[in-house]
Amino acid sequence: MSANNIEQMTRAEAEDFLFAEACLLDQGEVAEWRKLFAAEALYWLPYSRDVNVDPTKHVSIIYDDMEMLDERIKRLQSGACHAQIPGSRTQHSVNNVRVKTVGGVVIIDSYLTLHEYRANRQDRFYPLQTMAANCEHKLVKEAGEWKMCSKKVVLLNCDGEIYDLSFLI
Amino acid sequence: MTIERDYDDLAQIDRTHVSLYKDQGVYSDEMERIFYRSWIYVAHESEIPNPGDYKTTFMGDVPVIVTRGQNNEVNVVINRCTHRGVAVCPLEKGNTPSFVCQYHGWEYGLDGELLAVAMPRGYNEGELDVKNLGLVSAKKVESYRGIIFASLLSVPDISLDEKLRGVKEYIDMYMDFSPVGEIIVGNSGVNKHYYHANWKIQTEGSVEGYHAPVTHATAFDIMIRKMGMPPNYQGYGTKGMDGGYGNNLLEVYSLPDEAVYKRWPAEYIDLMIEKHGKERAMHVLRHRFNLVVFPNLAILEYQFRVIRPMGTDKTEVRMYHTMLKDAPDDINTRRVREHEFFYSPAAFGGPDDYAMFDRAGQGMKAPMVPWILFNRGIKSEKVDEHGRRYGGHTQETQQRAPYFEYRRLMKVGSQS
Repeated sequence: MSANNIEQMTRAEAEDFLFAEACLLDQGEVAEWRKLFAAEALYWLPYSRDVNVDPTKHVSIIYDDMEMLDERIKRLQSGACHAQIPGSRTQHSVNNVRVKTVGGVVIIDSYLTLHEYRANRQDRFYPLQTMAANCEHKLVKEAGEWKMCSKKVVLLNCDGEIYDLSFLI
Repeated sequence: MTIERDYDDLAQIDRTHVSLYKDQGVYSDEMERIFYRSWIYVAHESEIPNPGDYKTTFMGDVPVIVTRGQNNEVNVVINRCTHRGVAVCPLEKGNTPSFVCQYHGWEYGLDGELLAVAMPRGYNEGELDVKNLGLVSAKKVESYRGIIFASLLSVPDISLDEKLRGVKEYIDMYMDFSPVGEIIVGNSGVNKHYYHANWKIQTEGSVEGYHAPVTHATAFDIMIRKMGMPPNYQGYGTKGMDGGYGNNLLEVYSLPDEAVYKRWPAEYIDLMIEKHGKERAMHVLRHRFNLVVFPNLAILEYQFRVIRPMGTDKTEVRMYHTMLKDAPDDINTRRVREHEFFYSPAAFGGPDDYAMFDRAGQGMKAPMVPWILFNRGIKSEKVDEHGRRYGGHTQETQQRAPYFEYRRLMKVGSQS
């Protein structure tokens, strides 16, 4: 690939991609969200803020290849994931977007503010969970479309006491 | 006025009373009679391998520091400056030559000895009783296979050896999944959870065979299809067992040899046979179990689970992932993947358990429906050659087991 063939993305295009992704998650369009991933891809929530953490030697919160992500989605939609009865409402807010291209892969770094709520619980008072995270999306072009070959979400409190993350982030 | 409760009546052989999970007075008795005066898990030696290493944790409500002293000895001291009550160590873990309280500069050694105070000339002679103002040490600290237990206020009425007698064979088996018989605890990650209900629900729930096919149908389906879990595992010699002194066990399966070869790669099995001998290696590899060491430790296939009461209605649970020393890298990586599959807060199993525990906290708000039932399988319970009660793994021998020790410790005057 010659230099002028390398795919680039402007910040506006990167924001459009992330905003569209957030919208699919928040509207429950999980099948459409799943299509944003490349054929070979990783969906990763590490337990560590250390950028050098080795996921083969350290437990992650999520470390899904696409086969496992499909299992995850199937389970979440099965009606038998009890932590998701009632299910979560989420709102993903994306900001501080930066884009770079490294070795033919577009890397988007962003901040995520995530709100999560579950209505219709008899015990009431379900807290509005608020989470902050750093996201790294790695994008490649497949058949002319931008696809995520990696989505990594590093929670600000990834190594702290966490109540429940039984929803897509 | 102090009300003395009849714990024989509240914790019966086949049922417990809901007040054990809700009543502040019961909770205070549990702190005083169980968590401050019997063997409590505090750490594994691999968490503090070098002199000066320390880890902070809790014994009941009490914050403690577990340290490795300069002579390699293990100390357990209360994280509370004897001067004005300030915690002297603010961190979860680290390495230090001493602990200095940053309020008034009182400095303590790794064994708790008071070494210095700031501006000592302000004390007149006789005002500063240096010898008796060290950090308060646990009365007894001992370990077995690197698992450190301590008793805070008194020497327990049974030795650690006696406490673990009925479950040592399982602790040994757990360690021997490593070719060199050693594990490393927590270096590979710690899940940190909490739920809104009493601590005993996690103690009971760590050896729960009955709930698995109900709560975890979705997870077991994947484990069978993708992780070498035998589809008919329930037919492989499973049992629930009372290991004595509140300890208990859920044996998830005991595999025939051909199933061992399906579950584990030949390279690992060969290494295990080379190091342990064929008979021992195969005996270890056949087994999968959840072991509760009453009251606050559960040892599961991939984790040390530490249960921390935080009042009657809140419990913190930490799952320290374990690595097998000198096992092939791909075996330890598989232990990482299989652990996070089931146990992380976004995993395929754990969140459903905590949903049930939260709902237990909700349901138990009904005092007019007072009993929690543990009578499943009580009529068919058997006793093995070591005198240990056992039943089917979906029966409730292992949930009944903690309350034998609970009754023993909670009775007035049972502790010095």
